[in-house]
Amino acid sequence: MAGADAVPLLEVEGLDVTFDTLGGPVHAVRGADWSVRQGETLVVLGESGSGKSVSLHAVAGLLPANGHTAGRVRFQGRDVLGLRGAQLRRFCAENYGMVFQDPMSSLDPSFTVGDQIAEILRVHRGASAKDAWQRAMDLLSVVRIDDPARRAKQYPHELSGGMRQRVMIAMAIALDPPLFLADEPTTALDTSVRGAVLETMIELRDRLSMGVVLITHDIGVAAAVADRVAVMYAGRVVEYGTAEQVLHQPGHPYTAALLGSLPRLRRLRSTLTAIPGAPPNAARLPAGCSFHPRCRFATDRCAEELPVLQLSGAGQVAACHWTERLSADGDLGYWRAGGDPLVDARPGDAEQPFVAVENLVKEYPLGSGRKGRVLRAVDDVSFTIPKGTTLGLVGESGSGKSTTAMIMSGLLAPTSGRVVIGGVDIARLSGKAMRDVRRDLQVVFQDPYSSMDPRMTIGQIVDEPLLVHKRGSKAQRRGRVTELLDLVGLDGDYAGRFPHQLSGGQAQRVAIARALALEPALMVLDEPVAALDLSIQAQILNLLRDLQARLGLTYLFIGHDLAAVAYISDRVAVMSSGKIVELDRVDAIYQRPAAAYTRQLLDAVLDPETDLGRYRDRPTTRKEASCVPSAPVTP
Amino acid sequence: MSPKTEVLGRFRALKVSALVGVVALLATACGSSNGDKKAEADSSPGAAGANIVVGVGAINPDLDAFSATSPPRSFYAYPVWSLLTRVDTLGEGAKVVPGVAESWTRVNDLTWQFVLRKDLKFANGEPVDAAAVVYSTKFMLDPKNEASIRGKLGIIKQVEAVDDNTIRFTMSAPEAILPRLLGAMPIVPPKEHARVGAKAFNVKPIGTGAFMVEKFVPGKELVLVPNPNSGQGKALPASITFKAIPEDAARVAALRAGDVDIITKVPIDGIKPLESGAFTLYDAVEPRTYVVDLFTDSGPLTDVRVRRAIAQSLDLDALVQGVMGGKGQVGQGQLAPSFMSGYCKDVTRYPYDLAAANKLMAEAGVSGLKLKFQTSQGFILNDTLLAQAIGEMVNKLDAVESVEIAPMEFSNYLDVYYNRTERADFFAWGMSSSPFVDASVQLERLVSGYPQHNIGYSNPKYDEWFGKLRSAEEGTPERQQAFCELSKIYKEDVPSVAVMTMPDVWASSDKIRGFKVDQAGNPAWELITKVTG
Amino acid sequence: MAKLLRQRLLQLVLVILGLSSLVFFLVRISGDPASAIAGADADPETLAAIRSNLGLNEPVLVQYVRFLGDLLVLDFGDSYQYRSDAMALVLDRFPASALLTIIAMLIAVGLGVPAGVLGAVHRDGLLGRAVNGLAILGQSVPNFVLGLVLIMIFAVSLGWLPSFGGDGAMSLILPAVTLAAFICARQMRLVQAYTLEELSKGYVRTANSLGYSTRRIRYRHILRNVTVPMLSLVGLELGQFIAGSVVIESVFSWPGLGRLMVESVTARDYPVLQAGVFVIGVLVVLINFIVDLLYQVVDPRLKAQLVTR
Repeated sequence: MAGADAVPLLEVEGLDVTFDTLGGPVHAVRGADWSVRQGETLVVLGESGSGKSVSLHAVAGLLPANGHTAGRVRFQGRDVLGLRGAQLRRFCAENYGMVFQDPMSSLDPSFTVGDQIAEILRVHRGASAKDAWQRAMDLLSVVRIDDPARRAKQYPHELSGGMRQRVMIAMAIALDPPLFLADEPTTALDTSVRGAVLETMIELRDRLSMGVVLITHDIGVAAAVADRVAVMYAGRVVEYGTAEQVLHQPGHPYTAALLGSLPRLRRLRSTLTAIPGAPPNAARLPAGCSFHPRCRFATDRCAEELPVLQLSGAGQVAACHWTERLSADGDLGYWRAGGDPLVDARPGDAEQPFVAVENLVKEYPLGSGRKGRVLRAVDDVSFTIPKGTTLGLVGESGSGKSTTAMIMSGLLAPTSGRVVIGGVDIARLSGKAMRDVRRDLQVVFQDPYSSMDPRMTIGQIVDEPLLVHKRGSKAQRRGRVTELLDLVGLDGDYAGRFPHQLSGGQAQRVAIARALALEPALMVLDEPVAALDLSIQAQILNLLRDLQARLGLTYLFIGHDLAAVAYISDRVAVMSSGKIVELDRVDAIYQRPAAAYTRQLLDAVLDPETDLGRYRDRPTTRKEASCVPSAPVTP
Repeated sequence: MSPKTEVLGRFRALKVSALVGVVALLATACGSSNGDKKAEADSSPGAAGANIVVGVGAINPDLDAFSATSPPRSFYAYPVWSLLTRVDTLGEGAKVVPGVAESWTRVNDLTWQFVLRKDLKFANGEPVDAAAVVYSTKFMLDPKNEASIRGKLGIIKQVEAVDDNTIRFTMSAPEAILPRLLGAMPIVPPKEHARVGAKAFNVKPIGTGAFMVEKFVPGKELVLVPNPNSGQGKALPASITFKAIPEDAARVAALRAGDVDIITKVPIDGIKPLESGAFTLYDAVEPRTYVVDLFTDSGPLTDVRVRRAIAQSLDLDALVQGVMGGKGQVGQGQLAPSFMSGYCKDVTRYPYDLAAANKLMAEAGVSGLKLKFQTSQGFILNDTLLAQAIGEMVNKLDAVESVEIAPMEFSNYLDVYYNRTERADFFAWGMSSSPFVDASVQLERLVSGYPQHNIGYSNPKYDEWFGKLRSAEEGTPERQQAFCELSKIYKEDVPSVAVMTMPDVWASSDKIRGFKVDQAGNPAWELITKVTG
Repeated sequence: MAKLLRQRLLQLVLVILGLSSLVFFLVRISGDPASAIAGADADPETLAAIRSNLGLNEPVLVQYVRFLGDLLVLDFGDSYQYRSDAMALVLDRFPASALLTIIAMLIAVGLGVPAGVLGAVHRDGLLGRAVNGLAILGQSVPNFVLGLVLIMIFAVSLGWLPSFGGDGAMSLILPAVTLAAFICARQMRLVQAYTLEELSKGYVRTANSLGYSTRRIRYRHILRNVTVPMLSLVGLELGQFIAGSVVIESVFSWPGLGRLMVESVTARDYPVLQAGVFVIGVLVVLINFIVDLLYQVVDPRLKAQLVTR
């Protein structure tokens, strides 16, 4: 554990990062301040575009050529920003271990993981091939990979996501760096392995006495591992303090709003208090406090005067003019209770299901052999969805939930089984009959941009289904487009814009508007909020709930985040290895999970209120604690 | 006769004139660097025993003399093979001179007797005797052996040895110029030929020519060395090496680079740059007439006035100057060029007169003609350019609305030639009389029922005069009269237009002496010497 | 592995059978080879004799069945033009084309790959622009113009190299360089594009964070990953150019397969065409097979697939 009086390992003071772009300089980081001490974990929390990753890259010398830095970064008292070229490369390699978001792409696909670890030692330590290989295997066992001798000879694609990230960690600590930098290390991982990877990181921090800087957008992760938290917004640190201070007694309205946007299993009965609007573009920041246009407590002063970080508690600082007053009034605690209670009077006539899926199977042949080895992606799945309700389908990657969604949307033919929608079995349909059913059945995907023609305006995109199905005159259709955009909370002005001019949340709203154009009865929502920032995710979830209430829509909502799925669903089906392991009402699933797998998923959900310091404080006690490394860590 | 055609030569189709332009430009640009200056009239004599390298457009797949009558095939084969007689066109006129036969007499209208030289032996030791001639003639006459000279010598009905050195040929029809036609008749050593078979023999032929085959890589390279048993006198060079360089510009470059001593088929646009350097150019002429067939049995060209009008619309002087750089001979209204036996001074071509031509067309009552012009591409020197130029001239006629030029891929072109596919209004081709260099060979093609490339033209008067020509012996006034009458009818009826006689431009380094090309288009390889040092 | 081999063998048989049949019927539609053999003035009897000698008088289907029978024993008959074994003729020309192509390919890969990587790395710099410019120049200057310009410079003006090919290593240089220039230009562009793609990948960032030298990142990590897509290109071009580059073979009087094939088309030399198509078909399938095998070596993801098959 960190000693409070330890000397800072890394000090970042007034860090500015500017990128030269064709559209002029973009000021991505504006005077960020934070520091980390030996043995301590600092979490930098923020949404996309907040400058959290850029500041980390600036510290690690990984900025692209068009990035410029100003301010001060000192590592063990030594200036970092002044270093260049080979000197910088050497310095960073020796002092920082780095782990990135996507371990698959972060590893070279053409070399075995053993080679990749050994290469570090050969390059920087001049180790012999044999020694380097031996040390690589030691490192693999240090990061708790079983059978390192075998794994070392495998290529990245042969390992699971969690193992790949462990390999990345092994590479990061290969040179015994004093500082460990992790950029969204668990974002690409399934929730069930997330905890174990975080634990390993914290365990290594203690064993190697490293300082850790962890960048994340996930409040749960921040709560579970952080000693201290820096919250960034629009290139600035807006709040800084211990994890308890920041995440339980936030001093900045933004931090409080983020907490309010987080779907939490304990608060399923009340709406999310979403943050309106979208994070500003770094090139066009609003005057005064960058957050004021979205802030429920904003005043005229906020629009004019830039707040500086002020002490709000013991060592806790926040950049808000009104922290003191808001804290005193307890106004910032609204997130704990959640928003308005949810109306729960939905007609759930299970006797008359609108959608009935029976014994659905989808098999893929493995290889081209005649021996009939097949992969059962969907294995005898059955469920029903009553009209006007939502079934949530939750599972990890490879569970078969997306395949189920594809079959449900008529994009993929099942190997066997029935998919009855409104009395018609779509699995047996083709041609014109299929097109008729399509109209009643719309799909919204995870990435809204890829489903839009970049050369069409938003108006044209939303109009296209109307045009294709000949719904009304030109003028009528124009009116309908405005109506649809209004329905998803977009101004009519958006009709003239192009997809690339929209934020992720706005684009997803357009995708939903387009899906609604033909007044479908069923919407298949395939991870519609997975790519969105927390504050936007809450908006979309609320929008979907609202639309359902107003239009009587039936949803199949697919997701990997149990809390988010639970928030929007009436009933939840938990999928694993192609099978539904449990299907029940949301409250039942949460309160009385029957399947072990469901319990495991529930356990992996991190709630900032209850899971604060969960991995930080118990570094060696959970799932893999029995595995003792076989080799000493330091040579 | 027209050759078993040189397939490789067609690679000139790849040539783009812009390319030659680029090379010409470069040639001038880098001209001075290797002393490419016009040599001071160097008159030092050449020495024998030189190794001469010749860059040619193509090397034949084989050296079969039974099918190689015109250049370039003939100029690889004839220096090696034994021929019964030879047509000597090196000097003035085209005289028939002794080959294997030293003398001949006409026994009657249908029978000729030949006496052979007694001293001749093939390089393998076999005697060149009557048996060899009988064997060779019978071989040639059997259609199975695919000898294309059978088309000319098929009139021979019977061949018999009178004694070891005397041969008698009996024909199915009178042919006064049989000795000349036998200038294409190869004589092979019967034992060797029968033993190895024609296929193998044609790759390494044995004859009594001035040269022997030292090395032959079909399609690639041929090396000739002097034949010690030559019946033609001793050859001066120590060796002649032929190298195939299909691309015109590349061949010119090879000469300039000194990699070859002599090149054939200098492209018209390559002449100028060579003239300004240390090279000698030889303006030879091939006995090949560029002919445009006009006679058809249907369509507007059935009217002789239309054909005459077309003949009058052609400014042949301008054409030869513009497309051929003035090389070659302008056609004279008859198929024979002036150097050929059978040329008739009294026949002249229609003068270029557009007004008269338009009048003729008006008389014929035609207008708005849309004509089509079939031409080979890359088979005859500048063939597509010639076709285009002619098309433009014809297009100037008021009655002609358009002339579409249709360049054809060679095998399709041959199909039209053999009347297997439909011929258009114009069909251009090269009519060769090699190696005979006698107008009768060309005039025969318009006789009714002529088997190859019959354009359907038929005139009883013409056939009658051709009969007289056939029986009239060479050098007699009767023969000359028949020539002139035939050419007059040709001019009158305009079955085709004899546009020009094709140039055959060679070039050598200025170190080469004694290089001469005869009127049949075959160089006298045996006379070449080279200045040493 | 055995499975892959079986698949390829089957593919080979199908390719050869399909191609040969196609060529068989196409050339027979195109016209009569007898006139191409006899030339312009053979008499009708001779032409008929030629046709009967070649067995062209029989019904096409009978000819086809005979052809298939001969194909089984790899007998393509004699060339109509050369009167010698067609396959021998093709195999005689083949090494010249193969040698030229392989040398050109080595030059092209040796220059094009590093140039492409440099071009990508210095995309906005002088070097990147230079690579781009060269690549565009190399692709837009026609082969024969480049060839003739090289002849004018190195054979005519400087006299260093022979102006036409066919004998000796020296005569290989100019045609190989000309062909290489063309291949190289394309490879530079592709390597540049692939490298740009790789540069944005995570493992490059990882390598940077590990303090590896730029050279190591470029030539050990990026290049290895670029090799995968490059392999198929190189394989494709090898097949294409070993089958002959008619233009280059003509300009440099290089006695290769391409020219032989074009000659044979013009002369309707069916046996040589069939033999040539056979050799080229086998070659292309073989090169594809080798490329597939090499894929397994350079791309571990594919190796895994192969093992499971």
